[in-house]
Amino acid sequence: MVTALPPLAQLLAQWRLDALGAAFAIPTVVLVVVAAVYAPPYLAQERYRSESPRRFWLAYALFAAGMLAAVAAWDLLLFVASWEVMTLASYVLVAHETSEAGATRAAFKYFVMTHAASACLLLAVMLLWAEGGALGFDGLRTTLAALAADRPLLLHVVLGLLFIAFATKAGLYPLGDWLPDAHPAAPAPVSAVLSGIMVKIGLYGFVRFFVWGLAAAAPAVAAAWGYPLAAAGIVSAVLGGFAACAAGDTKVLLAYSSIAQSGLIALGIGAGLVLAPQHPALAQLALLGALFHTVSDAAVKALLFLVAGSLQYRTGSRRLDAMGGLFHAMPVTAWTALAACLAIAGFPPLTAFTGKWLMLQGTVLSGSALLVGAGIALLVASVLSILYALKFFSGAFLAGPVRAGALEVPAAMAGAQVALAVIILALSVTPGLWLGLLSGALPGPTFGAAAVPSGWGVFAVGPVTGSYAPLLLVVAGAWTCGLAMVAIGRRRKAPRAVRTWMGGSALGASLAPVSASGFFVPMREQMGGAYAGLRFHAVRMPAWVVPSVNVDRWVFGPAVRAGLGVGAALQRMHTGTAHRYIIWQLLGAAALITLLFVVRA
Amino acid sequence: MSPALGAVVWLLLGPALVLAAGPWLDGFGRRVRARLESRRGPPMVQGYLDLAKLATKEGLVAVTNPVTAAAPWVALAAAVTAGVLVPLGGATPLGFAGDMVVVLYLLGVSAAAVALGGASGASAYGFLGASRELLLLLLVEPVVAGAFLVVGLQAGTFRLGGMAAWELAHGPTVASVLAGVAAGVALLAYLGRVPFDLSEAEQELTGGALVEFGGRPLALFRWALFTRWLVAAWVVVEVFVPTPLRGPAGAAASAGLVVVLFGVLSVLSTLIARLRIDQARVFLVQIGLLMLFAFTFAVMGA
Repeated sequence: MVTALPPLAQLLAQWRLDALGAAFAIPTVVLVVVAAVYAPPYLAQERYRSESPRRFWLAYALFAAGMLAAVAAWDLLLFVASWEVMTLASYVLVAHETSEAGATRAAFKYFVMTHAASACLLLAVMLLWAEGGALGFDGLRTTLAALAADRPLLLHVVLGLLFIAFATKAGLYPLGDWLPDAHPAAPAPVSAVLSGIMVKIGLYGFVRFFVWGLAAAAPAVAAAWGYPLAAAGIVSAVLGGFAACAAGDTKVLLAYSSIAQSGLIALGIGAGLVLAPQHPALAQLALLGALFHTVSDAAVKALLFLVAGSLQYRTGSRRLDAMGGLFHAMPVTAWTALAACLAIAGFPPLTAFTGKWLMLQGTVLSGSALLVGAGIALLVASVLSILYALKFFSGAFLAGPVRAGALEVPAAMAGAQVALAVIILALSVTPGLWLGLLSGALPGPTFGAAAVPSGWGVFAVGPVTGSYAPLLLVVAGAWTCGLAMVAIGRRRKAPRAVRTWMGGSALGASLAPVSASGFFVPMREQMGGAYAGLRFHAVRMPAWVVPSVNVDRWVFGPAVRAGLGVGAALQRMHTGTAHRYIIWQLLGAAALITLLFVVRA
Repeated sequence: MSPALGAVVWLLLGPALVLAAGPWLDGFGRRVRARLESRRGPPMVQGYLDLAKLATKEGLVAVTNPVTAAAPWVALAAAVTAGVLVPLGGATPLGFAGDMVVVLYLLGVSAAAVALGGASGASAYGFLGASRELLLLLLVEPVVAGAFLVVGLQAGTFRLGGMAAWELAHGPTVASVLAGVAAGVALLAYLGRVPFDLSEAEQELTGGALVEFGGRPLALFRWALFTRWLVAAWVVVEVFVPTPLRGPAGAAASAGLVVVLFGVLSVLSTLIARLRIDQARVFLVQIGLLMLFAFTFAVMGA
């Protein structure tokens, strides 16, 4: 059953970048380069002075190579090895600020959680290898089909292990709990790459194994696994959205938003798997929406993390309450942040709209009760993304007294932000072009059969189920402004600057402070604690709901306690007395011999 | 007329028509309210007169940044752009540019621009108004969008033309009637009319999110609000009660229905006292349940 490991020469031939890999590899290259441009001035800050730049750049290069290798590997073993390189290198980067205890702790949590996931991945790959006898991706479908026919239970075990591994990396609830700790701890350019691309590599795993491999080999099994994936996605999208609204720290807000966006993509992939057997056309829309959202969120989220880094660079804080009124002081950062915030809010004509809109079609129009429910939840998640995007932007740049001075970041940092903003605009106005390219990344017979829907132009997207032409909307809006300007007449004189009205009193702004956390006071009062610490009392949820969504309580707490218990037991065994070890050895040998006899018989 | 030519003509004329029609609804609504209160009321063109007066006033700004300056223009442009995507008299010349989801999102952009304007600067009143505006958006947007999705689900498309055609061909179903009622009731909140004018109630001491705006920016924000009233009422009419007439007759029939719907909404606004924000939440959650019933029926195929 077990075959010999392939020789080295054969191993090196096992790289292949197909269209699906390229859809992830190209954003990786772009983001890695942009973040590398941004990083040198950022790392020159006082707080990073004592850290070794060599360590950073070595880990950064390994991290980038690991990510690229993971999407280019055409072999299970290479995939696992690249995955591990990526994970270890990113751990070093998260822990870069060694003097900060919080960063070290967050990095440790990241290390433990992702390595538990890596162990699952390794186990799954070993099982696949042992069953199929081949390590190449070429044989993956055959192996999966054979497993589905002969040993369905083992197949589900393998898929479950893969699910845990990928969901942890993708930050899906509840396995993505490392994300809100690790992202704020890492330096901003690293957070940008972590959230922009590395989280998406987990989603690549889902697409490669569940969509590309499983859906072609065993459609029924793939459809069954689509449900948990979509469910995990929608829970992440809604809970992550609420948590992002509640966050007062820029990077924590963005980390929760990463969980939410990752959840939306997982929802699209899951819906595609569920729909593939009956509605291939809708499945294609859902999957294309997920892939497009992956690419667009890579740019948007990376830009937002860079903006958060720039804000920290100049204000020395990550708290939104400590900022405000920075528009004039940091114009380039503000404009790029505006593009990213409006994009992540999903406003047409900007980019995140396209992906959400395609996924909404895929889910709601299927008519399946569960998917329609997921579509409604997607709407709620979209509104939440509007709320936290506006909170982020107005909290940092608009609200509060205008901050004087020129606080713009150095040219390299500003340039990196502008480059990403340009990419976002390019993705925004030509959705048809990118969707056409991405449809080539969907696997052959299962999803390619529906072909590209008609009316798929460069500037417009028009499947039978909807239509969207962003550039035309911009033209109509501009024409409207022109007409309104004519109708309303020319401005006679420039507006006069006055003081803010404070209710008629002469008190200063300090007595009626405006801050980002105040933005959500009415919401916090009205929505109860639906987010803040996940207290559901105001919407009168049963008492078990709140503890039941607390990951620490029912997953990580018991895991840590069990680990400590095992450790304590091991400690008790090691007393240091030699004869006790000899007894242990004799007992072990006896047990082994007994076992052998039992097996032989 | 070829489709391409029709699209270009509508792209040029549509915004002008939508811009011109919106303020009339303001005068009409105020006349309805005045009559119910046994007053004469202002002339029907009062909306235009108000805008013209505001436009000539001197601009006073407490916040000078490009985003705040652009917010009123964005609010107006997004609302009008949503308007030109809606079918008129059975024709959808620009139907390829955006479907129902795009229309709802553009109306959302318009509302968010108001909030963004209110949240800039150091005014605590404006900030509170913007915050309430967004809370209302969070509560009402899923309800209204969900009601439209019910018809989209039954028609198998989000294209407004296709939804209207399906509604005409299959008549009202249990699901679409329930969804229509939910959308109609939620429309009051969606448009920020009494009893849901929580963010800029005239009883309040302040002007809500727009407290810091005056003159031309305020005129543009008001204009955008009127346009949102028009477009939202119009899209509800076209999707839930489409007229079988075509051409100019169809357009006139739709316009008549829009006026009737807006009149009913104005009557409701006059008769119902303003709600507190927590009452509004309870109310909208209940309307949301109605929308979920509609979805259940739609999934069952009723």
